[in-house]
Amino acid sequence: MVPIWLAVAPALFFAAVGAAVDRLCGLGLAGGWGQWPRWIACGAVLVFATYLHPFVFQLLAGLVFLARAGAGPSAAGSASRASSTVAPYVAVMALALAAVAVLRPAMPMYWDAFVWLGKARIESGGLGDLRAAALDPNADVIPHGYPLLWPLAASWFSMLSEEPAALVAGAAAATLLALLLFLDTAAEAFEGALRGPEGFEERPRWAFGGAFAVLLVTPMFWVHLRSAYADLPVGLLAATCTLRLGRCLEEPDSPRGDIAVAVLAATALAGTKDEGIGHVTAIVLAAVASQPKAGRREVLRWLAVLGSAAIVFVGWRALLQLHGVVNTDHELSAPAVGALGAIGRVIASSAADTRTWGALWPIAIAAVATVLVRGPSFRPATRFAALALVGQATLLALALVLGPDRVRTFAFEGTLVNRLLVQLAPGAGALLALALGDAASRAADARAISRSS
Amino acid sequence: VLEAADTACPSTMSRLVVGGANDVCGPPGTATPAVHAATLALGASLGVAVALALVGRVRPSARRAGLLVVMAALVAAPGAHALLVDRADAPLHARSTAKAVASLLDDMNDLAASRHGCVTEAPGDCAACQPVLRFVLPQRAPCAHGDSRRP
Repeated sequence: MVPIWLAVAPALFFAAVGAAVDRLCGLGLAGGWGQWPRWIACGAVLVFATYLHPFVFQLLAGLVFLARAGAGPSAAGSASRASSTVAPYVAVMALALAAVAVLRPAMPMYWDAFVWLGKARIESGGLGDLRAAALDPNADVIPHGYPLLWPLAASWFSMLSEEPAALVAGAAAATLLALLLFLDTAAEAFEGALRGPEGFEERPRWAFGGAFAVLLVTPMFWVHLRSAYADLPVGLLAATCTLRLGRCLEEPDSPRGDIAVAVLAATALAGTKDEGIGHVTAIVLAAVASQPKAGRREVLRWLAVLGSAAIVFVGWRALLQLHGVVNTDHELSAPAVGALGAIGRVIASSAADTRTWGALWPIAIAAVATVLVRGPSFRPATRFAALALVGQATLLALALVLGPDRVRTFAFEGTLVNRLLVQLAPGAGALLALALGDAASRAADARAISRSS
Repeated sequence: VLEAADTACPSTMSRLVVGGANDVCGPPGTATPAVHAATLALGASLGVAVALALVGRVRPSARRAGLLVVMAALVAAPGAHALLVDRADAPLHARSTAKAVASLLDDMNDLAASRHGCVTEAPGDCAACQPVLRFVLPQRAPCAHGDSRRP
């Protein structure tokens, strides 16, 4: 069993920091059981920003005020309702998934887990050691120049331990934190606005349970839930960011908590992997496309979300450059136009691998296509989630085309594409829940269902 | 660790370390063709069914959502079998695999200590040793005498 209890004290520390900042700045993070993962994430992200550079923290603090300005006049509302109709589903899923993540041998077992946790061991040697080593061009920290949040989280949640079991627990705690943020957000997004758009009634609870059950029977989801890889947390954070921004479409006057969580997720995304800034860019572009007649407040929200990710991404890259460290793995290159066909084939082949993905991708592709083609039949937040998912997938595919040869070699050898798909899977599950809920809650159809059942 | 029925699955510690998180049981080409074709066809038809439900041709209901989950679980069944039985991290094998990993970690620790941290990866020699060595020596100082050796 993974010694997850080691993460309790660090989690309480981050929660205290997050709660204090929430109270001082009025972020709207309090409310419901979800306030705990929100506060922990808030504390961890702020500590991370300060750890990178005090200037990064100051810029993020400036963005908090931008986000507040974008939240509108009635911003006192919290990110959570007093009670949730899908709470039983969320509780069962959270407990079951936590059990899967924790009830396993406390030993890294997959390639990248050793690499990530090896970096975490550097930090466990002393607070700040990983930053110093990563910025030292003579230190042989492989891979060079990668963002630091994931190994830092594993180290911090393990109480700066160097033991493999404790580091596995730290990574598991960070994965569970992203999972709880996602489940909290998915429940909120599924319930939608207090007064739904015209033509829609309340989404039925079974649509939430059914859609997420389709995601949870996906074998690859289980593999990554039990690993110390960062791809599943990236997917969960990206879906959280999308769903929170989607809620702003439905409740434009009281989104302070939603914006705050979206900003936290975006910051964590950029700090975890280089793909993070791509996910955030795709999500914000989808938001822009979903609201072509946006006002000043909407623009401020988008700037806050994109800006928070950009500050961390650009800030870290600037630090690397100042210290002469090059992230060769993720340098852009000339477009590999000749490899387009092979890239398309490897993506299609990976998505069609039913042993790895079950039926997730055929179902998700059908949902995305239907929502985009029959747009007005779905709520705005659902259309936005579909658009964001297409944008994220496109940017990841572009990364394969525009990245260095090494990236394509990994893709063709079968070590990369499935992991990129893991980054899209939570968003696909959430979209299916929203779309299925919309189909069952379209006013005329819902009354017919009610009569027939 | 026992060899699994499906030989494409990462059923040994070494294969699990090298490729265990890249997929569930190797590339799709290694699957039994008939099973892969059947599950893929069923998955595709579930996609069509979902599309029909979303456009309103089929009325969505709790019972039909339950049926969707059961059919999706059926499509995922070969992968679930690999996770629960065939792979080296399956519940029955996980403990012995973890012991094998711990033993390799100890070996790499001993090697690093005996060479004073002067160890270089040699691709092809021992694939599973490479990531374990990175865990043991995440930050390697240059060898003072230029005599870096292989694990």
